[in-house]
Amino acid sequence: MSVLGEVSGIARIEDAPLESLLDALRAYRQRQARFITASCLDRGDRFEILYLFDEDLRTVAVRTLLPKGAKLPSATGVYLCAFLVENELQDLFGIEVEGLHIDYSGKFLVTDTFDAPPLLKQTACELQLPKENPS
Amino acid sequence: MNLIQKARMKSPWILHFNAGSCNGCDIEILSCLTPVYDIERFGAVNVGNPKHADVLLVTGPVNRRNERVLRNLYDQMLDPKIVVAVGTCASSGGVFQNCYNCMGGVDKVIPVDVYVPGCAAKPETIIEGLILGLEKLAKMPSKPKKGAQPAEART
Amino acid sequence: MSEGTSVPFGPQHPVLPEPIQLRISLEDENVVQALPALGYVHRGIEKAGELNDFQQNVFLVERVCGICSSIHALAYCLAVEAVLGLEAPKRASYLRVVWMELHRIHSHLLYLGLLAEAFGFESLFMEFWRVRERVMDLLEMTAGNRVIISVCTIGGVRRDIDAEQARAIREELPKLRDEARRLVDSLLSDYTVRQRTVGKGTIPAALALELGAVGPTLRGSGVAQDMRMAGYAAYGELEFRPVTFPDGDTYSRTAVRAEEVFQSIDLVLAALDNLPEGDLKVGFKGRPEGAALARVEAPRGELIYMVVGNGTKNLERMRVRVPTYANIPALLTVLPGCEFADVPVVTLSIDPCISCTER
Repeated sequence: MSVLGEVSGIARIEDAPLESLLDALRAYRQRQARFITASCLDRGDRFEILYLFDEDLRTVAVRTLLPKGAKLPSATGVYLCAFLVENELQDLFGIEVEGLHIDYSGKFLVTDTFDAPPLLKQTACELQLPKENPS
Repeated sequence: MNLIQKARMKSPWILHFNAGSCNGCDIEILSCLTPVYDIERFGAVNVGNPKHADVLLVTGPVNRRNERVLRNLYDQMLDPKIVVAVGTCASSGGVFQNCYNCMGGVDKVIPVDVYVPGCAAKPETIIEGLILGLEKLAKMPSKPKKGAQPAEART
Repeated sequence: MSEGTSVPFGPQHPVLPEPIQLRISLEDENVVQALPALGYVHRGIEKAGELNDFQQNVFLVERVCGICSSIHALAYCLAVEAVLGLEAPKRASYLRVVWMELHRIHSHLLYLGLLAEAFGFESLFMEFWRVRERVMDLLEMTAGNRVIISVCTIGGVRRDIDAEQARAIREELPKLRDEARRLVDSLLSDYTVRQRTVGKGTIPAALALELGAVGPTLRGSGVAQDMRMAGYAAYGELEFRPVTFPDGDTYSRTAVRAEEVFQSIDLVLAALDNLPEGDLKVGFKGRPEGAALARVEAPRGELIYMVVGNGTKNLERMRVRVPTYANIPALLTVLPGCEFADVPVVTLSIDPCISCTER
């Protein structure tokens, strides 16, 4: 599967392999870029994750490719505010994040009534009734 | 109509719960309380405690997590009570048809007496819905009949 | 010294219009830790954005949040327009500014009222909401609905503001300005209000930037950052300077929002004065292919939509990052150290919008 090419509105996308992801993020931290959020795309056998930063009203991004099943190193050691979005990645994409400071272990937004993480491409998500009724 | 029923008609206390709504209907419910619409002229007061309330105003399509909270609130309210589903998504799920975490309407969880349409429901409509609910409340007995089971949330 | 106590704040709480739970650990009266338990309003809109047609999504994203609904639609439309290579006509851009700023006025007045209610100033709450009804009437007059106005569409706007409506807006807004000025003055100069807000929940500028705070929360810490400076829609052609206050406390954040009400009134009037003639929307053919990111300034801060199209009528991905999402880390950092009685006021001071946050 391909990755995103030019994205209108993002000034620069820098590719960082998984091993040096945290170093790349640290470089932004040192330049005092404001962390915006991370965004994840399901690309078949891997995830494409973009970390977005603000530099004087311009958006710049760091991209990493994560094979499915691999663990993602947590960015909370660099930017604490990443804990919200990383918990969301755990919930909605089923990505295991390693070293997360505040970990809701997959129960941040959704309750555990889904068979598969809802934002994955193969997950059919119609209005499905909960597996068992709590009452 | 005995004295208690009469008094209840003149001071319906409201409990408002947001069950996953977009806030649109919630701010309209708050607008009802403020001077322009002034729902207090019907004696209605917004209370925070389910034990004090006669009317439950629910907004939103109800999601998997607050379903339990909604059921809990409903069970805590004392009989007689009425439930008003405010807004299109509380009535039928509305625009959130493809959303995986929505139950698709308040009536999937608790019995609803009045459905208020609109996205977002206008204050005039909400007040009308409340008045319709009160007409229903007036016909309910103030004490449950001997041996009758109290109304319970649908399971 | 007592043992630490743990208090759940929410999900159903009289101060909160929306269900969120804060698990607060107390040492006597002081907060030592606050953790949010979210998920009570999570609906799954990002997934629905992939399952719906990309044109239907305009109506869906308006329901992400009812308070800043049309601004969500604007951000989504800007992103899709960038993918499709469209540019909205001049008149549409100016009309967008008018509606977005009317929305901002209503949202900020709503906040000021709720804040007054949070510390028990009921009459001021009623007054702010009474004034707010003037804006709601303007929205209803121009768009046909009060809260969710559905004016933006891909390629432009769906409605026009004719000369008579423009005249009504010009007459109404100065009255609103006078009334709001009186209320804001009494809010910001009142002794009790100052006691409850000055020095409470202070976020220094460096910390706010580090934690990624946006919007009035960031500007209340003295950082002049406002996405409207980037000049989307017609903001690039209008006179405009971000409002900042230096102290970073609840009072500063409130003052920023109060001043922005007047700034928005000026922007609406300026946009109406410069309103060019022309079309309301441009037509388009084809389906989105490619990706785009749009950043706009919602009442609570910077709002981001990222749209990835794959050449079909369904989008590959719709990513929403809302302002409250960025402000929650800052809130969680300042709550420890507050007194328990201040928790509602400090929580409200970032103007949290939970239905945005959880989508």
